[in-house]
Amino acid sequence: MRNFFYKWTGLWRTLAVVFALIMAFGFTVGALLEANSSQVNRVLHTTTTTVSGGDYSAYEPDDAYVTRDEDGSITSGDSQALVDAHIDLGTQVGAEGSVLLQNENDALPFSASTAKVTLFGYASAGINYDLKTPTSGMYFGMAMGGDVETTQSISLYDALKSRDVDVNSAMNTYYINSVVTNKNLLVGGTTIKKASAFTPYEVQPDTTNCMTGYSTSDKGSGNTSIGIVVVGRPSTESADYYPGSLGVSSSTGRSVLALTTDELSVISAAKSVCDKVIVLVNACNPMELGPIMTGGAYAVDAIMWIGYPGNYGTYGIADVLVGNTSPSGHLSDTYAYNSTSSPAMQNYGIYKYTNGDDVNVESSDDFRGSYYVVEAEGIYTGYKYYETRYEDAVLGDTAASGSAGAFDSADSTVAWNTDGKSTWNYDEEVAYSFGYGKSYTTFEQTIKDVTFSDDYKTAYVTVDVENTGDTYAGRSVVQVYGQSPYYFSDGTTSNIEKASVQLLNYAKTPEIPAETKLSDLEGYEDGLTIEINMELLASYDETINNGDGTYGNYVLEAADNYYFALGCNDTEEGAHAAVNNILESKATTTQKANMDETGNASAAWKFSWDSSNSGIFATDEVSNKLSDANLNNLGTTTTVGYLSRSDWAWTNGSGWNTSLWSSSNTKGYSSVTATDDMLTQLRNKTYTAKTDDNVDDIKFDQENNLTFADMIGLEYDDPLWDDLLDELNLEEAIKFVINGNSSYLDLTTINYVGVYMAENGPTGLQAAMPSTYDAPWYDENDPNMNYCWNDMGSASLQASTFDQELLEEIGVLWGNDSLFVNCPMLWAPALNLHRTPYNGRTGEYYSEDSCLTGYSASSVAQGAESKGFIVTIKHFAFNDQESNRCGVAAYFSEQQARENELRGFQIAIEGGVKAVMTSYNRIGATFSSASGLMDILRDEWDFKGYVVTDLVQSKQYVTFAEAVVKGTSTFDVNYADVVDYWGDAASIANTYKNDATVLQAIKDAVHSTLWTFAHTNIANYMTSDASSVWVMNWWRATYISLEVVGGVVAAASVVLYILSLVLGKKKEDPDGPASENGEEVQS
Amino acid sequence: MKFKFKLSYGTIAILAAIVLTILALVFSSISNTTGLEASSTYGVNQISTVIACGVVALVLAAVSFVLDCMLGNKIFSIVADVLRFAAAALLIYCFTIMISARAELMGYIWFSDFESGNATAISALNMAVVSWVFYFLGVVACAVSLFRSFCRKN
Repeated sequence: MRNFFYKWTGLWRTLAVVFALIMAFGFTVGALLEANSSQVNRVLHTTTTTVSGGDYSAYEPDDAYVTRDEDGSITSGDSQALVDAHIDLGTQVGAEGSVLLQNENDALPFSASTAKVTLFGYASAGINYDLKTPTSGMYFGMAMGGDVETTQSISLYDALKSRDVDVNSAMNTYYINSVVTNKNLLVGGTTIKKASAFTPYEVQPDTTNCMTGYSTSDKGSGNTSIGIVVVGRPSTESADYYPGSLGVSSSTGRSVLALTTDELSVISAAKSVCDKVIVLVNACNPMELGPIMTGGAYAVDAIMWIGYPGNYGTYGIADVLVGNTSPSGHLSDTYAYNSTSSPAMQNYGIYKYTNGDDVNVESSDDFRGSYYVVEAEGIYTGYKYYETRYEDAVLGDTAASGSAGAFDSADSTVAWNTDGKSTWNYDEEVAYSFGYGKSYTTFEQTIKDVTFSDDYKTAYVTVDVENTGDTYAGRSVVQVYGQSPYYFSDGTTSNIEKASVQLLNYAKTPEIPAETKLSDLEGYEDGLTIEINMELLASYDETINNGDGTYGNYVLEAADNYYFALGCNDTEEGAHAAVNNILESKATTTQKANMDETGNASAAWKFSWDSSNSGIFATDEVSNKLSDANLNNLGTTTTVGYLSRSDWAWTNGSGWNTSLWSSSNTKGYSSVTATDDMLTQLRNKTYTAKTDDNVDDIKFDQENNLTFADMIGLEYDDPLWDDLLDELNLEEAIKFVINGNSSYLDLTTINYVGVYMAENGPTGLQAAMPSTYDAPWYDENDPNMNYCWNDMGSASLQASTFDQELLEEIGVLWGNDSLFVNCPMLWAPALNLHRTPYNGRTGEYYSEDSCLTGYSASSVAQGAESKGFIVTIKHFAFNDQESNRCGVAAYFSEQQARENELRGFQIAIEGGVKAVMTSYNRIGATFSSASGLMDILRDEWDFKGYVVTDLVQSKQYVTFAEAVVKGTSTFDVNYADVVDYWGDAASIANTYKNDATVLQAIKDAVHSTLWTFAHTNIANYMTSDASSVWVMNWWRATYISLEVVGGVVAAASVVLYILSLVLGKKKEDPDGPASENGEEVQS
Repeated sequence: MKFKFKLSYGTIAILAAIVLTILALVFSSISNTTGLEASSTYGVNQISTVIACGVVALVLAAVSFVLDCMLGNKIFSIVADVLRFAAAALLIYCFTIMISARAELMGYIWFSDFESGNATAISALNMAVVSWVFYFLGVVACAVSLFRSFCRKN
């Protein structure tokens, strides 16, 4: 026996060590995995908890996605039908969102039977952009923020083949190989700390070896050789493009959004070997297209904007190209010849306070508090600038047509030239207006009638549409714009800045056959009536005295020259058509000579607005709440001159800098010095806990026998909520409020079981997730369990459909997805406006226009909520650039805020959205969650829903009390990550135990969150007896096995080792040292 | 100069463990400092714990060497084994803390683009990775030293 032990002493020792290490490894890995389980689950498609209970009757997938028994009960789900629905809808979005910009020489549609198609360009290759291995090819989605799953994408080549188009495989293979071997593409234009140039990469086609049978010379009799050139730019979070020297292509000296000489060479090569050339613009940032437009040095036959098509949008693009459907998309942005020409570009980029280094108490920059941007363009963003200045130029304003702010067109033959011109000419500034889009047919739109509701808050514009073409059917987009007069009939001028036109609403007709009127179709005999919320035409006047000590409110000034106008005339469609239609009605003959096209007077409707109705939107709740965001109110040495119609030369402001920008960034307001008060705000901790409030009425730990399940479906103001909230334990409530990083913690006192609640994605639910195992329509063996549901086209592509019904269908589809993957909330869509073409995140945002933005989001939300799926609109607000986004201070006028950026959010919330995410940036010097924005949201708009912060990267920047007392519900962070900064729940509770404001705010935060959750499809399983079930997934099984096996073997080995030492005998060796412990001593 | 004892593999291993631990602590400190330069958000909050545990691990390793090599009898050898194992456990603890402290930064830099342009933050993560390597090697060295006695008499 002793021999046995001491013979194997070394083995026991070895085993003890090895398996102890294995056990330690198991504990280490296990601890890390559990601490980050929500992120691990997303990446590995696992789940760690599920919820038992529930009958899954509150919300069910659509019948198309389930099978039922005779009783109507669901027996199983059909995930493949759901995937097929994604393909169909993705195809439709690709078809209806693509915008035909130019179509000459009958290039489109081409016949699938006679076309010999070759795809040209690096971006034509079917390999998706991948963030971590920066190759390129077609951009199916964003690089980050609105990405789609690579492996699911259908290439343009395959999409065309599916429509029986003969596509050149040799050239396609050539470009795919080029993409694979040339992995040197850079993403974005700048990074947080410094600008770096994005280098658009292009590969010249091998027309010698890859065109056999597809070129002009050998296409075959009766065929047409078609070249499709795809050009594109990526869009991404946390990086912006930069113009000028900061973002200049190294090969051309041109702006990064201009076509490079390499890209133009590809187009030239295509033109040399093909009968017709079509350019597809695969970008969401408005590119400079002048050289390829009609009359340009590289003019092509057709240009079509395709945005980011998602996984399946290429099918839709193919349908448009071959004529299976007429294009019906319209641009959601203005396309200027020179992408830097808008006034917003004068103040865009990286600006540091002159005393920026004084901001931080510590030596580190936590978090970007030293940076700011002054949005001095006021309300004149996008088409509001270009169209307004155009109207004033037509009406004879010499400053409007003067040289200030007039930019040279980007010209393919001249290096990028920004020295300016002697006159401002709309046709030399704007290539395609907001709302522009062509069809294969033509439409005429007329306003038949306009009526108002009794309270005048709503107008009803009735329109008839005629398909005046003789061949193709098509869908027409009716865009209704409004003009609130800046120049009154008596010759006076308003004191309030007003844009020439504002989009008020829009609708898409059904398909109208050729030579047919809409009113000839069944159900449309009276035409199409579009409802207008007149508040969208109201101006915000910061100087209005409300009579209660506050200032600022909405006004519709009394006048007799208001207009509604349709965005359609004989020449074009969009905002510019609307302006010309109005000018056709009101301009003098002399003035009309300044117009660039004839308008359609029958598409404009003049009406009066009586003084008795001037204040119908001026409510008691409204007043200036963003004064601290206007630099002019903060006592700095800088006076901001906002752009005004009375001063297009911008002499009252920083002026127009038309020089090529240098890295020193001297344009705009670049020398702002923060005051002491601003420094205090920038350091974030501004709330002081009260210590002597009477908190007796703020109850916790009561026993009222209510559970969360009892609250499902109740209104926010139902008195039962008070009883429920009184049951909360304060520390548990604090943890619940803090921990909002996708998953939420338990509230044991009310039997709320913490579950995974939220996922990102403007293109859909971003992660494939296994569902709860209890849902009758889902099984862990489902073949589509790893399908990635974020497959839709980009937000700007969705918006370009101008189809609210289609977007509602997207919401319903996503709602069905949420029932399968058991994730009831989406942190999307994003509603920030495209302030400039250079924002890196443009693909994730809908538009430069607030109305299109708001109605798009509202439509998605309504569809989603029908399935208990809550969308969270973000980022509230002014996340206008990615550079220094975490903490950059945005300064602006309140009028601009309310009429531009906030209006889209307001439309969406009034449309029923129940969840909001605040923004990374500051509003003025205050981080958004603690700013005056929250007063607008909670008080003015009476928003009761859930408000979550954006990701809390810095726990010194986003702070607890400051945010909660302003109405923030929860924080995008894990509780464990903030303990070292904010203190743990017990210390927070102790700090505020006598602060009634904070205590009540904590209860209100829980209330708003739970009320929102009570309207989601967790109602399917969150019953009174719901309980959390711990799930043994594969990685848990792995690390637990390591712990158990390692521990058992190690323990046994230690025992055996000790026994071997104790029981083992000395072994004597007459020739060497004596052995010890049964081992020989080394010599 | 003749040493009383020849150095065995175990001795070499424990000496290597000591050196690796020192390097790990150095890079942990650099990672913390660099992280603070990027933003105080990226400091290592438990750096003091890491340093303390690392130093204790060093002490335990040194003491185990003395006990086994200098005093060398059966009881002291067992105690030396336990001390070496404890040193390895402390290094694993430091390793765990450093990984956990950089989990957020890994997400921001490796699995997203949130801090792609923040060179200082990237450097902080890279220094942490280096420290992980040294912690791991230090643990391995401690483990190797457990297989062999330290000293061999000449």
